[in-house]
Amino acid sequence: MSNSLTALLSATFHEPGYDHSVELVHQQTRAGDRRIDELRVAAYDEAGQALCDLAVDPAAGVLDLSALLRAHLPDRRAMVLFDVRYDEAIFPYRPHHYAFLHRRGSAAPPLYYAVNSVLGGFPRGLDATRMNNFETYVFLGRPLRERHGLVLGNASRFADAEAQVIAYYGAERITESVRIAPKAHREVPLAPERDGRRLARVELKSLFRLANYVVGRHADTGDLVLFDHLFTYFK
Amino acid sequence: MSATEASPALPTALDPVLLCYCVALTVGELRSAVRAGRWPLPDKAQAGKLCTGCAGDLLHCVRILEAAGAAR
Repeated sequence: MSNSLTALLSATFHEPGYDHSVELVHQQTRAGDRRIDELRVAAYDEAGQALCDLAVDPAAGVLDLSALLRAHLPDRRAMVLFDVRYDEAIFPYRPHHYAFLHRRGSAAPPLYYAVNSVLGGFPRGLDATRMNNFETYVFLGRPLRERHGLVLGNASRFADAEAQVIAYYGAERITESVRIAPKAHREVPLAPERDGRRLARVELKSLFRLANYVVGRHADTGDLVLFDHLFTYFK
Repeated sequence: MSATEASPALPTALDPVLLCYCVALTVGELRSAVRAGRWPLPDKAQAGKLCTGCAGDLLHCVRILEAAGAAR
């Protein structure tokens, strides 16, 4: 891929049985003139083994990820990386990808989420104004029939990632340290309550930015009912 | 061939790999800069500090290349 264009690598996770469509350019103009120049889509299993690395038409608009990856995926979750090149003159910030996710046949509503950007996305000359390797998610106060967890992926080429997942139950916090090899991923389950206190929030700390999503699964069916990125509250 | 040109842990075949997406730094550019004692390059000094996603890779490569250079 070209190294003379601006580069962005974004990441999501795909599970079998889900329809998964990705808007390649979310902030399109009325004239539809924002485009990416190159796109590769690669998928990796939980251990970081490559499942596929495909050149994809960057003008695809909405990419049917389930169809694209069907022949390559095992029967478990995969981390999917979108490596794009674009002209920064035609994007105000970066070409955000957004996606729809829905379990086939499920009565649950589809989920719409912003795909994590993991590498790149800062225009040259613009300083970073916030930390993005210390992120938080605040859970609703009322109990829901969901099991929560964090899905974490390491998009690096060489370096293991060390991260801490800190779950808060009232004033008490439970810390779990995780180590993730390059291109590997894992789900860290979060207990719904501890000593009668509900899970209130979770924090993720790492040396460098990871692909990260907070997930909620229906307690009975296991269907995803939450798939969202964490947020940075500390500037 | 110098150690930094052919470090077994970071072969030259990896030189086209884009290491830092924010400042467009490749492994090859980093190798050349370290070899010349010019790292960090003035126009790439923000490498690893913006999106932070490459910080682990960058540290990994700098350590290997500096160690290989010191061993020459």
